Amino acid sequence: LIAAEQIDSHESRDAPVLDAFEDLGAEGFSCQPFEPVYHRSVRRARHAVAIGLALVTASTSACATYHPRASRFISRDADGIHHRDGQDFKVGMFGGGAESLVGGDPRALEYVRRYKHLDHVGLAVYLVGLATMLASPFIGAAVPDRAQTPTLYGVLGLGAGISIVGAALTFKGEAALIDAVNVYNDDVADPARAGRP
Amino acid sequence: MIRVVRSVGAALLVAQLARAGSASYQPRSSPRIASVHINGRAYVRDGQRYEIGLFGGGGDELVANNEAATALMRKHRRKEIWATSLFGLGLGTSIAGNALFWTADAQDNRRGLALVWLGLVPMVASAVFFNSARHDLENAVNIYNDALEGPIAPEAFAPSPPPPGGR
Repeated sequence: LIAAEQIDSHESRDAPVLDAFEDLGAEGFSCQPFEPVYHRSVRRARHAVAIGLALVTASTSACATYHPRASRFISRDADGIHHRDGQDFKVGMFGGGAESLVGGDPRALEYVRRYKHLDHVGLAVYLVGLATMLASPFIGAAVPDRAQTPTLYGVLGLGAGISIVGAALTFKGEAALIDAVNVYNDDVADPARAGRP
Repeated sequence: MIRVVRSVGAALLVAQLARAGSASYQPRSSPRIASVHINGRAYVRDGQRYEIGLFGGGGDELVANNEAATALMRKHRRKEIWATSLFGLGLGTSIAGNALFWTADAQDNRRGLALVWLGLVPMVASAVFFNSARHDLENAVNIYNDALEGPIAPEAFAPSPPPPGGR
């Protein structure tokens, strides 16, 4: 009601201006379809999503994968899935399924344990390094102005170093899984070797 | 002095990272091909170590005497050359774009930015080729190993059945 009164008062006071506006509306303005105008950060986010999608599509692009024959040897196909005795074995990010892959071979199981240990420790160290890098701006802001830049870069470098150590441990773990598979295959080829320390 | 110590420390860390993926167990001498590095480019056969180069070199020797595997290795090599070339082109374009961006005036840096984005296109395309080349390499190794036990079944390349409920 108040708004209506205000409009009424404007109409009475600004009548010549409104008439001129209506004239313009009739002749000068045309009705355009609504086109959204995005903020720069939104546009950038859309570009980032598009590039991310392109990268994901690229990395998972359909390629013919040869499925190894059912064999007592362990083989790994191009999709990263292990095969043995006609069964598929998916080894998870945290090493799940690795024991069943080399089940029955104590020598290979020893390597799998090493793989899991290094993988877990490496991942934890990597995450600590990542957290240190993420915390570097806050740590830099907490010190006096003169020490801000060296502190920021120092903490950033420390975090990067810790992350590299974590990644190296994870890589060593992955290599131990390859060892486990090779040990298993060697023991299959020569059963007399299996069980030896 | 501090810079030298830092550089040496960083170089040691990166070297450690590069060495970390190498397997410690030496597979026994066997006609089967065994992988010995997590990068999927180092193999052992008959007690001999084979390294596959950045452009796919060395693959033919690894799967010698197997026609199907050799054909796949040649495909792998071609794709690696394409992938590396495209990646180099994209990287060069992006570096040029960055140089243009940081040296131009604040009002006239659109050209540099456009070049940086343009450089991403061949880099994304190279990822497709790299992925496909890796598939060919691993397929060739598996075909070689399977052929040691008998002829390859023609349906081995058939796509996997869709998951239950999938289209």
